[in-house]
Amino acid sequence: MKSVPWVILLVGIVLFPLTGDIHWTRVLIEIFMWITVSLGFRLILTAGQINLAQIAFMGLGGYAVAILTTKLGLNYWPSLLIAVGSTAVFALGIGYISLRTKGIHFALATFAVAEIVRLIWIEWKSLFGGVGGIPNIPPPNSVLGIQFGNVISYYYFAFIMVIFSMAVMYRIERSRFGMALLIFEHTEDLAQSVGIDCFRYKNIAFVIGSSFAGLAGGFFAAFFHYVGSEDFTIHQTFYVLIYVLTGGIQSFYGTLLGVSSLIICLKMIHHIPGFNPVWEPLFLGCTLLAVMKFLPGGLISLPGRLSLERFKLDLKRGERIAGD
Amino acid sequence: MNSFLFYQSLVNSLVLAMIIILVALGLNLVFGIMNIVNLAHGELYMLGAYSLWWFHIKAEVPYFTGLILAVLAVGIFAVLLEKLVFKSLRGQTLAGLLVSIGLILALQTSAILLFGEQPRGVPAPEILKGVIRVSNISISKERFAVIIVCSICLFLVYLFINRSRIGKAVQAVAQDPDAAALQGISIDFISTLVMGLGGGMAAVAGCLMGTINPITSTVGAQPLLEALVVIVLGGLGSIPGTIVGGMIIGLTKGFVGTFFTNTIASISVYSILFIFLIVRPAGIFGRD
Amino acid sequence: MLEIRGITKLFGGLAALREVSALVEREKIFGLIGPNGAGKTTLFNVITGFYRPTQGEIIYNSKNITGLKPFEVATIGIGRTYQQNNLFYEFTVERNIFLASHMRPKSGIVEDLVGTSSAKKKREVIEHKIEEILTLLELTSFRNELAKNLPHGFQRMLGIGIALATEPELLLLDEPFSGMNAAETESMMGHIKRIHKEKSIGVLLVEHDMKAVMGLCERIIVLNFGEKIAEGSAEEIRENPIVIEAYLGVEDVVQY
Repeated sequence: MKSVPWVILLVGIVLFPLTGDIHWTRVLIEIFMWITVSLGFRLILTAGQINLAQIAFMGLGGYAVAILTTKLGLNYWPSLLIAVGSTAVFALGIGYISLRTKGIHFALATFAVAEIVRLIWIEWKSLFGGVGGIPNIPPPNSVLGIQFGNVISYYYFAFIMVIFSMAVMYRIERSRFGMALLIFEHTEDLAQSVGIDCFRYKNIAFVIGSSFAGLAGGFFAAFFHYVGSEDFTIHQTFYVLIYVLTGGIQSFYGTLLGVSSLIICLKMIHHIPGFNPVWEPLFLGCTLLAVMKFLPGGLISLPGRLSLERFKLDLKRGERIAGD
Repeated sequence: MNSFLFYQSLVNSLVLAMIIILVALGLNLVFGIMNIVNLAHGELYMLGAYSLWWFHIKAEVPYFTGLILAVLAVGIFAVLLEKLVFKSLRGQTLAGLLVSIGLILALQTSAILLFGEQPRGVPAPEILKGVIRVSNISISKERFAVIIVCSICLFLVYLFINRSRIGKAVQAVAQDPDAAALQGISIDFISTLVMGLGGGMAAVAGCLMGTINPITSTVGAQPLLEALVVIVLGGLGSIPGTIVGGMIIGLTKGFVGTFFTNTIASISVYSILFIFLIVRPAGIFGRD
Repeated sequence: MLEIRGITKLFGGLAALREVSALVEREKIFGLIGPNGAGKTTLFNVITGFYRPTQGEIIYNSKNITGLKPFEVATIGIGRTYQQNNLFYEFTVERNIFLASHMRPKSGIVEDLVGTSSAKKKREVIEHKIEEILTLLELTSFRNELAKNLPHGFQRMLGIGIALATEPELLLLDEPFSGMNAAETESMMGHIKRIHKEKSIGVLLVEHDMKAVMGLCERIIVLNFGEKIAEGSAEEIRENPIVIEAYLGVEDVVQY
């Protein structure tokens, strides 16, 4: 991926805030944030599991930062670390219990977890602020002399976050661990027979994937200065799922493509006269239906140049070892 | 707990259970035949309610005629969904799940565009206005009608599945599609039929509740989730399990809802779902 | 080497295996035969940890391994092939062996993700192994072919290659000859003999193809309806009236 056009794109992205276009700078920040969440979702998906609680983990990261900074007055940065850590611990617990199941049972179990978490945010008013959420989250404390007074600092914060996530994904994809995950969807028994502890690996993937969401949630709290249960609903998880599937699961570059192209489309839909907010989910729902019907490999499969060795999630019903 | 609260909770539970069972049964039948969990099933409930509003309030058709038309309309729509969307996905449970997610978004938003954003209401017809009182337990006539109509529907479905030839064909396909196909049963026809039937049942539930509660584009979410809990509890593919599961959930909601907030009642229900998915995914009666 | 001691496996009320006992030695190639439904694959599943026996034990090199998880069984040196879902279909032949070498040599997760020099060395070791196995099984010309595109006989060969990559001491082969013609069967028999002798790996195979079984196995265990009905050398089994009846009985039904 070292050819000239990519370098130009990268430089363009790095230098973009200098154009002074606040609106699109903010859009790019959102894109970076959602890429982080989606990368985590995709990692878990490559292990053959659909984590419908991904947004709940994002919310947990966000609420953790919110509570630590507003109620305990902690510095933002250690709060972020604690937030990601506690998301990871929670994911470890949930994963340990739920990853005994797979397929639709796992998907529904994470669905249940997501709803329970959201309802707790609403019900436990003293800690989580109820439906109103937690407002007035202070901006991150200055680090290395950089203040978080305007959009540009948030931009580079988000940029670093997404580069970090991509670097981790890159290493995972090339590792034996990452490759082992790919065989869990259809050939888990064979994976066991070559000595892979599938349960442990799925747990690790689940924790890493959920922690990405927690990290993005911590960023959300800083950037929007507010967290509320309405921002972390199951609909938002559906959106992440649609970004990932539209981009294509074969490679994490697919996720980059899916998130950016769809969010840009959504923003452009805003500008259509007579815009109704309802058009966003309508567009995404129809996109998902179209992708599943006509382009199941996602956008990244269009050039067809990616080696076929990349595992395609074909989502057929799993098969068991044939018995006698 | 004094007996008044107890009996009142019991009555509330029964109403809740009836609706849940009706919705869950449709979902379960579709799963049993097509191996797909259609999360957009709740939207069929929602469309049933909106259709009743449209026929009765907008088109000024008499209430009961409107009810029948609404159920038919949604049933036909469900059939269309089967032919256009789900047919090629038969047997692919996860793909079906994902597609149904796309449908949820598309249908909920289409409803807002078609029917407007404000909540809609359908006033009860004269015959259902008022309250029935037995000692000091009261139940509105609308809610009482829910119990009656749902029971009739369930009974009709039971007769259909167990006594009619087509119903037996449905059972055959659910148990062993290959053997059924060999006997000349058209899987296509049965799938379409079951989808239409499930849609119709969801629509009945939606119409009934639409008369009692306000109708918005998201009314289908709650019944769907409860139906999911029920079929996991009772077993994917098992009809008696659905009924038992529905009763359990109805009772949980009814009683917990009386003494705690609705939110806590919902949390309890989802927790039951979670526990059952992990511990006994096959449910109380069901096969996987 | 492998002692199967009184294994009983019940599914609900159905006894898939009943009091099956046997001793598998490393020096001989063992066969496990029986009509369909006799419990052969069930026994494999019990040995490799996919099923927990209702009663009985599996002793491997004097250690009780009953109840170990499948990946643990693989780690202690028992390799296995499958009838179906036996390959990593969407990957190349080379990649299949690479994936199968997961535990030999094993990388810790951190070392693997960071890419330390020890991780790199282990990858080199794996490269060597891949060469060796591909050569042994005559799959080198297919190395960049997707597993799902291989001709059937070579797919089964690859299945054995995957099991070999785990560096087993004992190989459980589940119907290695299924779907093969005479020439492929001859070739496969040669490969199995060679693996057994050159690498001194114990072999226990389940098979229906009697020619292969008689030609390959020095000792044969016969199951029927979940019970062991006979055990002995190829000649003994061939002439054993109980065995003949078990198979003949099935043929009668088939004729109707």
